[in-house]
Amino acid sequence: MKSSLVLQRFILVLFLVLITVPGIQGVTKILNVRSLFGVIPPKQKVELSLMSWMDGLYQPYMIEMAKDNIGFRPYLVRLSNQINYSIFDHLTSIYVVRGKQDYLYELAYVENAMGKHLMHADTLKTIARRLSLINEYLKSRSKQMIVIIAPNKARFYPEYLPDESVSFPEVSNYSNVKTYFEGESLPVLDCIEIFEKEKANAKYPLIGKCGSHWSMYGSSVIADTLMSRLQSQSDQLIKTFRIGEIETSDVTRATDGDLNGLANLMFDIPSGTLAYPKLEPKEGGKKLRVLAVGDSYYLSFMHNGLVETCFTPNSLMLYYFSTVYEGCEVSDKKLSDIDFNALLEDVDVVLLCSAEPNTDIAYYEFTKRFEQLILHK
Amino acid sequence: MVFSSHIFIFWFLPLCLISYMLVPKKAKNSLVLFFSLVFYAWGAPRFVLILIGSSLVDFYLAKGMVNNYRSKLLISIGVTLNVALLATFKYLNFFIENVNFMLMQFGIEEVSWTSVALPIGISFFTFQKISYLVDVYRGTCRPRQSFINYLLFVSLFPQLIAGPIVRYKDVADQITDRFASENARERFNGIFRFVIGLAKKVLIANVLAEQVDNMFAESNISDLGTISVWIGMLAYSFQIYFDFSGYSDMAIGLGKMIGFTFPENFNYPYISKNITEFWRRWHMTLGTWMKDYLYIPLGGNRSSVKRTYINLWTVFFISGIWHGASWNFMLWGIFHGSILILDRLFLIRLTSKLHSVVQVLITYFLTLIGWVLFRFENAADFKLIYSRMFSWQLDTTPLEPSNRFYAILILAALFAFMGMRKKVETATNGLYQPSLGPGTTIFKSLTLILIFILCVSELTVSGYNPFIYFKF
Repeated sequence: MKSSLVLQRFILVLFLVLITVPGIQGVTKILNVRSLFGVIPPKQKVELSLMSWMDGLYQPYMIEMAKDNIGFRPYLVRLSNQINYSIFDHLTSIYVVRGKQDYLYELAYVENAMGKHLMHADTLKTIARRLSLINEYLKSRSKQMIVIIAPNKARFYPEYLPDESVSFPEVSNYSNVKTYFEGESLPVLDCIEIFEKEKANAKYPLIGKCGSHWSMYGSSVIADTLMSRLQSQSDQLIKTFRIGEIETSDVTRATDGDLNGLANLMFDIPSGTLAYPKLEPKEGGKKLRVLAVGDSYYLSFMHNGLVETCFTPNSLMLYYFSTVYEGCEVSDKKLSDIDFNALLEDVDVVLLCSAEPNTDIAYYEFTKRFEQLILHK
Repeated sequence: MVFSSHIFIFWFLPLCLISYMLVPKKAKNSLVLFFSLVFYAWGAPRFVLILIGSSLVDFYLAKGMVNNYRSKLLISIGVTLNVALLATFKYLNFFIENVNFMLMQFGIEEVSWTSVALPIGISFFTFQKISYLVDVYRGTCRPRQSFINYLLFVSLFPQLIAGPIVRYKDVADQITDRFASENARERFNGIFRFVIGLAKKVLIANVLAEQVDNMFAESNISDLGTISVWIGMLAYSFQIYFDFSGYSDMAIGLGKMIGFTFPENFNYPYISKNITEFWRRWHMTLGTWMKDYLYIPLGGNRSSVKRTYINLWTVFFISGIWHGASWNFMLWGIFHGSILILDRLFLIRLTSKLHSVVQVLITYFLTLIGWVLFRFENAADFKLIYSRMFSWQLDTTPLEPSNRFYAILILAALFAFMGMRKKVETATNGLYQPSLGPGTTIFKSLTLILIFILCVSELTVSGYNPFIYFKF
């Protein structure tokens, strides 16, 4: 009887702790909690005043704020998502589509493959026209440009998509990009086509089961093709690589399991065995100074070792023409710090790399800036 | 402020509980009153003065009744004022809308008016205020000497918005002397009860509600086939039960945390063998209030059989419109009142010969028919639902509820009907009693912690959270 009373007192104190600490943590953020992937849309701030209180405007705002800023929110969200996934077979994330056999897809890619979110034709035509101008300018100075169309997992693994998502129309952002870019005779490296050809024979998955991007193995295959193409069109010997030892692992690296992150679960969905090749530099050859522009697909070339092995340390990557990477690291430099005129004269290669949902945002501003630059020369 | 919100659980509740435990005994009532007024002002800031002002009138009227030959006049004034307050805020809109409708039929110009906002909880606290006046008038209780203590009875935050409806005589003594029941055992029990109520609301009612609202949304309702309508109504029957009984559990639990014992409000209503029994198990405090302050004053069953039926019918008609100022609630009250009369006439005698499971199913079926009236304000909607329930039709556009919805629906049905086994009913009700057995305490502790974390987790991701009875 006494022990029961002690336990009841303990639970009483524990309950008080449980209802007090999340509020304090929410305000002070004393403990470091791994945050969630995704965003909470910002709410319009309502100031506390007699009017806002009496009109009942302040209270709903505070209710939402208390909910969004509760301490340990990531744990609570992950727990709920995990229960929904493990018990009710339902993935809660709004960004992730769960396919058959637990293959995950990023929603934007599935919808693009289904012909949704079509970019304005004029925008794509403008980008293609400007890229053509840039390409001609580079060619006149014996430099190269390659436009990499990154793969789309929904197109690569249509067999694992949920039944309602497998119909792909003829017209999509991918088809439009291809039409307009090839119409301007741009040097395109179409990884959707390459992956489709390689799919049956690839020794290891080219795209991970729980990854949105190409796998480290897939990106190495593309790196190999890219460097071969660059060498074939160059007069001088350039630094290339050979694929050395291939390590396999059930634990994902780099972006190979990135959709697990977006799913915000407590425990990752198993991704199966993935391959991690080591890129070994070949003897001789000149490292290229590269200017890359694009989306996160290009970052895989930093993760798989291509940038370090074959490109100069001062090669730049302009992520969405916004964040600057130098070599493999995010740079303190801002776009305004870069002398694009000098850069254009100094680089050996311009690489553009983006997946179909991002083509317009990744390239529009870059092409605009460089078009002006070239026209004013 | 709803109990199942972060702001209540993680800000209001700890501030209230910790300060309540820290302040001296003398200050406890003032402190709870302060928190109660903040709680009310959070949801209805413009109506706090009405709550306080009308309570002040009650307070002095009740004081005036003692040893006063005009006490009958005073009680009449008090009850009339309270009913008028309720009528003005709750029924004036409805009344004018209907008058305008009639005028329009005769081609007469409508009455122009500005609609009146409904103060939350008015149906509940008005009934409590009336109970105070009547209890003092009848001499059952002495009037309060302190206005703060009376206002505390009216505005006590755990039960202010949606009950249980506490009669004054139930808590009169506790307002000044509840300190014996303020101990770790009662508080532990209160926390357990609160968490169980939270789970009923968050893990069951909210999940069902999301799907029910989707099914019965204006854009979907005409697409529903027979099976979907039945699934939707079954889900609604459990949604309303777990929503309201969950709220009552939370209110009772919160009361216990600060030393109050509120009356029970639900006891496995869906295991009732007839509608008469259903009303002894569903919203019990409303039934008790109606019996004490309406049915008995009307004469109850002391007069002729015919008069008894009229009284019964009147009580249920008023119960119906108490829920809301619209025709569907009146029809719902009339429906239940009529079945109660049929119960007395022959229905109970007839069905009592059947197996108990069949009796329960018949009663549940009748409540389900009633819930259609309760759920749909629009006559065209409830006619459509009735027609789909009783004529075979396939969904035009199939709605595909999630696995989770079906799992919760089955779980809800299990919890709602498990009391049919007397042992289960006794055992589960026993869980709410203070127990010192180590086994029970450990079980309750583990359940409490686990369920609380699950509830908060679910609350954090879900957007759906209104309580059905808040609008009454």
